[in-house]
Amino acid sequence: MVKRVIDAVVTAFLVCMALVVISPIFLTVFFSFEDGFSAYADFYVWKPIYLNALFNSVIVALVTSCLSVAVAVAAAYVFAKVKFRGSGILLYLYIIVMLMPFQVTLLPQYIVSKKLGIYDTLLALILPGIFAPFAVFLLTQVMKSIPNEQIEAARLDTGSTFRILISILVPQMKAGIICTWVLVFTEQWNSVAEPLILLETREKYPLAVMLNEGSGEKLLMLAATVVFMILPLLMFAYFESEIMDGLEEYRLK
Amino acid sequence: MIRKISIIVLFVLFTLSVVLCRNFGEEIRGALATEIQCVPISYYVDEDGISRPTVPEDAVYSDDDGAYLLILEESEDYAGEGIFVLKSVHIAESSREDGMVRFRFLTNTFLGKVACDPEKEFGAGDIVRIMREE
Repeated sequence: MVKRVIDAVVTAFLVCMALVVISPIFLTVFFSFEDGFSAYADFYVWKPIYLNALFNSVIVALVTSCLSVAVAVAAAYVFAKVKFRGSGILLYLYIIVMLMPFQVTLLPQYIVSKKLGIYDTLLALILPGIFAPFAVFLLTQVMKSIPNEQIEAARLDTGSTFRILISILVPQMKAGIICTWVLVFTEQWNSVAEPLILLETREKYPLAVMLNEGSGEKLLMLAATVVFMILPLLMFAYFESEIMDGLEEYRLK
Repeated sequence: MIRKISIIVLFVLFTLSVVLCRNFGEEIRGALATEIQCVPISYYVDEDGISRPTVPEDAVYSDDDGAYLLILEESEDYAGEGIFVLKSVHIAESSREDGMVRFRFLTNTFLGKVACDPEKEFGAGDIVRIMREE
């Protein structure tokens, strides 16, 4: 009897906590329709700068995440499967950079982008994102789980490392790669500080930054927030099993 | 499988809505905005009868034959599209000719005389498109 009461209290408490977490999302969607679809009409038609910002977000997140994963797969192969002097220290440095707060690297990024002449362009966001250590670290962990014997066996058939990577290793890392891609995409999608520092022109801002700016237009901001959520939600819904498998692969290392 | 297909359909719809609205935004705004035929006047005559090249935003228009004074504000969002946001409407006097209500409107840059559908009601915040008559 006492156990059932405790269970009921715990369940009620957890339901309340779940509501606290979920309610902002429901309220955002609910209030965005307060004036019918007018807020969405504003977003899609009457305030083109927000749609432009969404487009910027898609470009930055998509290009960065795809190229980042491509670079990370190659780097992960080197860290996990190629023996060379200093590889451990190099990976250790990667992890240190990854653990550093991103604000530490913002000023150097600003200076470098000015020197390269890419300041106030989307490239200023894309280039540092491609070589971010996060994806390399995750995929190195996945790559380490693949037995070296498979690579040695593949070497009997071909001498091409690239072919081994593409034909043997990448298919086995599919879940880990997709999971990494989604994580990098989401990280770029949500980034606010980097665009604020590395971009100056309002037309080049991604949507995450614009959401912070329009506090005067409540309904429009709510609609923009709902649209902002759609793409990551669709991605998660589509790749749900791969993401879960990928996270499982990271956990096992 | 059905779940994945429905997600793909949603994704395609979302992408289409973004791409279409972005690429054809100007046309969509033009089609949705209220069209006003107008004859722009390139100068403004103030109370002392002095012609001025531009119209001050707070100018009081001394109406002689018009009806409404619409103060329009050119929005940065639609720069160059001839689309304005109605800032305020001052009803002075109406005259109906040929089933049309005559309007006068005032923008940051020019003063115009317009004729509109008498059934149409304007209010602050309305978005209108100015069709200039050559």
